[in-house]
Amino acid sequence: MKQQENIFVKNLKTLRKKNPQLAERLLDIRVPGYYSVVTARSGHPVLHVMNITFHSMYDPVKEGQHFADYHLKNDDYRPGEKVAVFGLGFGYHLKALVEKNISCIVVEPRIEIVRFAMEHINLEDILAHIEIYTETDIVLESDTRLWPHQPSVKYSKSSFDRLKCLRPVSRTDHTDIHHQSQEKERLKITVVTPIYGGSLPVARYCYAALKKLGHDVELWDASIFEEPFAKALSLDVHDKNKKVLHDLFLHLISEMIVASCTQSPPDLLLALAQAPLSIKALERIKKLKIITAYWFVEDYQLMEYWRTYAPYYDFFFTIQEHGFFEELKKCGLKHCYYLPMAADPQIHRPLVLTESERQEFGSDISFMGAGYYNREKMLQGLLDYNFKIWGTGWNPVSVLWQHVQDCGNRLSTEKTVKVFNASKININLHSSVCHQGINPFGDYLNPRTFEIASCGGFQLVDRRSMLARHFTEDDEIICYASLQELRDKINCYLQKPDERLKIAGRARNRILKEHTYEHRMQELITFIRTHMPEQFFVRKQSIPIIDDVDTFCSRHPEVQSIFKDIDCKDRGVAIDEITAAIQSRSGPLEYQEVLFLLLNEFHAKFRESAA
Amino acid sequence: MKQILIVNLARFGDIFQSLPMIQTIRRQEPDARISLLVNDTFSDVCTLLPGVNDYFKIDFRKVWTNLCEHSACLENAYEYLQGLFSSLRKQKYDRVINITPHYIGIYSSFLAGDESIVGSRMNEWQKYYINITRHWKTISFHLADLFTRIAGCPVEKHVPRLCISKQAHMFARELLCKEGLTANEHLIGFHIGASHAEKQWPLEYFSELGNRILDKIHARIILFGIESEAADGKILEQKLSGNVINVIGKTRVVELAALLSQTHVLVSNDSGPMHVAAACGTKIISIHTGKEKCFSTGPYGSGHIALQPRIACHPCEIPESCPTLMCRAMIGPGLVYSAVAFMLNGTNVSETFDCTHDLQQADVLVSRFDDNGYLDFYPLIKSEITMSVLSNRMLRFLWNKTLSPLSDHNEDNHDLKCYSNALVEQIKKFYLIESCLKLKMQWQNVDACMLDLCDMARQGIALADDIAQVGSRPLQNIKILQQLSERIEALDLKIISRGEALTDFATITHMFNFEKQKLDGTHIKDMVQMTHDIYQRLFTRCNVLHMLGHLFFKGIENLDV
Repeated sequence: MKQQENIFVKNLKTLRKKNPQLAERLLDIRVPGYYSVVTARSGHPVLHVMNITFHSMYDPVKEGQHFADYHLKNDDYRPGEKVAVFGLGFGYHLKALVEKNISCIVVEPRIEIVRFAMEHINLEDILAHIEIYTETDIVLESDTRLWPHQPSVKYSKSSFDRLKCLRPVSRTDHTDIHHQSQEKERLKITVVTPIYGGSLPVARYCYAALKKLGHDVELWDASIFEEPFAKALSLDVHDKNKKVLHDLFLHLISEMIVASCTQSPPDLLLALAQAPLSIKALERIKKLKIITAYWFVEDYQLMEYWRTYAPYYDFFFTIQEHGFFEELKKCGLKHCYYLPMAADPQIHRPLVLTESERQEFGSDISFMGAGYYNREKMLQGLLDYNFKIWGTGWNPVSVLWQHVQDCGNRLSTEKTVKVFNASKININLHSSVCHQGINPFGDYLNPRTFEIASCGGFQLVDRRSMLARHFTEDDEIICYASLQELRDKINCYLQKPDERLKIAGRARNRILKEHTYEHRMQELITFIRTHMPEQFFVRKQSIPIIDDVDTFCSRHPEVQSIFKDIDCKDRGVAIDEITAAIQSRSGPLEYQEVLFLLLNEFHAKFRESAA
Repeated sequence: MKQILIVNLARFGDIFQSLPMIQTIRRQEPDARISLLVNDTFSDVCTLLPGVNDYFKIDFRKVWTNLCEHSACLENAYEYLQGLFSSLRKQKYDRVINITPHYIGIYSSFLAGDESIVGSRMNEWQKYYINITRHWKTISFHLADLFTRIAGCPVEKHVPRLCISKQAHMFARELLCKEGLTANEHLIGFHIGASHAEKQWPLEYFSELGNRILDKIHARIILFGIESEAADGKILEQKLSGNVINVIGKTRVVELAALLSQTHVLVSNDSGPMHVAAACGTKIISIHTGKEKCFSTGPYGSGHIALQPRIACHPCEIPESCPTLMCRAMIGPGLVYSAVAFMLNGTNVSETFDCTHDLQQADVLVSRFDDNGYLDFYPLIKSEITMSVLSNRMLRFLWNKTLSPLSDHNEDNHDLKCYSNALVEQIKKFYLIESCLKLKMQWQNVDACMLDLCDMARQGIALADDIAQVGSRPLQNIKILQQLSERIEALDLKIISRGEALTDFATITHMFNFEKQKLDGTHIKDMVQMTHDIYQRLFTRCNVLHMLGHLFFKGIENLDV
């Protein structure tokens, strides 16, 4: 034990010179009991976690050298190029790189592995030559080579996926050549919104972002059914009948979505949380070879309906990670991916407000959100401030009610943005139905965290375990962990308007750089493309085309007249284009034309039976 | 020698349902060479069809591969079909008859040599068929009879038999002998599968029925089906304590036919094997759920029993997306058992069918040919008549009278009176008259709509005449023509929307709409004449129905209830 401590102290000393913040954080890290060390035949210690052995059980040093040789040779590495290695393990592979004079970035998402490695291996030689990052939300430069340490990838797969997806595509990246060729391909995407609720605007932001990325996007806006749906559910009938009405309504909308997909199949169907798609509909959409993805922008522990639907999607995107991923995998889902919330800078933006708007929407402190249990409790401690509360679901008999604005009505997005802009301090408190105030185990970030920042608003947010992955605390965002801390910070920052402005400015820059819906949608597409390139390929191929019209016409001169009105220079012509050209012609149908019409009928019939 | 090609690219069952048509053509043209063009998957069955000289096949799998799979190649698909049809064209067919209910059949017929099949030149029965496939619920004929009419032949009360080889019969006898079937045992067949889930009677019901049969009747059960149904067959075999002969997935079509011909009664979903059994002369108890109804696809021939759920949504219009499939559960095993017992023993109907609850949920119908030679299904036990059943019979008369060139339309109302009287007699015999009287109110709504449509059709005729007049002037006034066309468009919209109120009779305006959509041509004079004829047909159809309804309800009211 003593020896272990000595190694750690020595390593820490070296690390402190290079990265004092990480060194400080490591002091508070406790390594879980299931982390262990096993000894290889060569006598070297090897990290072992949950049935994963991170290095060779024969000779980890030799294996490390092999790692370095393999990448240097096969990746066509040129001296001076930047390298990022995913996974620290016990560092044998990094030592081999350092011995070859290669400095690199090391991304190790499990900080406990860094601590454990520093307790058991003398890393002094290599710590001087590497930079360790424990966040996976870093964006690697496009010309940085990414070399994965496979056991680490196995243990932290989702983090590796995210790191890859955040990385801009590089022209010199030889490992992803197929991926690159697809990157600029325009996809046909249908975004399905819920009928109502918090994910409805998110669906619209996704739609706008995908359009900006150049895709051919259709918004299937189920919110047009909000009124009749509410009407059906408000009928004074038995619960059983209500359920029948509810199910039939959802069934109808599902069928309409399936019909749209059959008529004009997209490459990808992206459904937002609570989208009205039944299991039967999803099965039929799958038969059309349409890739389905779901972005579950809700707390999986609070809303459990995902269990029913998750197995029917090809991809499941979440705002939470580890525990949730394990649950999803138990459901049989292959591809899940952490995709945090974001902001739309064209909507969530700094505004120049009029004086009357400042009067209406401004205050020293404000809270925007629904009246959840923990908020009712916690915000009662702020009643002595100039405090405005906005949003729905607040208790009219509570002492808070006198602070609730606009009679507790739902605020439009435009007005919300005005509130974020006009408030000196925006209080952000994540919801909970069982805590008195702050949920000490809270992980994900709500959309407001990003939206306030994107508006250039200043916020105080309750500390969440995933916050450090997206913002730098105290620099871009200020956190609190108790009512007292919140009050202290309110008092402090109300006195420092310049400081507020600076922090808010940095937060907005971070949003623009990393946290817009365009970033998220790009990640989403990249992840899907990486994991299902064949399916994308098959769908593209499922629209039959004449690849080379000139050659085809030279072999079949009888069809030349059909193609004369189609601009087919340097490209293939699809059957539906040929059909449209035939239908636009006048006069009696000719034999060759009918042959193409027959082929088109066959194609339509096959597509229909697949549905 | 006359050369005739029949294009039948639909499924297994449709090929067998074309048998009465083939037989009628054969009788009319004993020396003709009759060829079939079929989907390769079902081509085996062609050898069983009497009267067919040879057959050609389209390899659907090959077309699919070249159009939809990873290795898709449109050029290959084009070349394959071009090769196939150029060899068919060389046969120089005198007639090409299409009985495929979609455009694959129509275009194939064109390519095989019948260039008149596309657009407004399509024959009237063919138009009816293509149109009715979009409104399947309102079809008024059995498919086999409809095929015969499409071929331009009269229907005959005749059920042709399949050509089953001696070897196949031998195979069947040996198999049954090996299974220990004795001469005094009844052989009851079950076909548990169907092409779609909504057409499948629940497996547990088959199990309950089987156990009841084995318990009460000296019989053996034989299970038929294809390989994909084998797993269900195994489950059923176990539930029937193994006391069955299971040939699911073990027979070729010809062997299936031979075994079916030895079967006394077949209990079956509406499926291909059911049609094979009908063409073998086997008595059938058919179960029609989902979108199928016995009137259009029931077993062909008289004396079969058909069971249908009594539920407003049957026949279903969206079976693939029905959330409950509850129609399948409405035909109880007790009711089917009664039908089996009745068919085997021919005992008193009311004694045999004592399962009152089941009778409230389902209709028990028996097949027989009507006076005009069309197959129909009548209730075994007098029951209430619905507007859907009544409309089916009225429309059959209507289409039979009007699906011919306008010049052939018989203006004499004698046949109308005769049919009305016959219909009244039918209703009196098979249905509860009180229930028919209750329909009068509904009919009055339909009748008002018919009269409105007659009026609109007259306006259409007048507009077409105006266009003809303006168009014939040396200096055509384009503006007036344009105005007249706009008025026609507006009128058509009114006709179609008024037609929605016809409910069970809406097929009349569907047909009008279909004819309008198919209107094509290059000369204004021809187009105007065709437009005129379409309105004329609408007028005739609505008027005939109006008169038929009037006569019929008068006849019903005159009955001494």
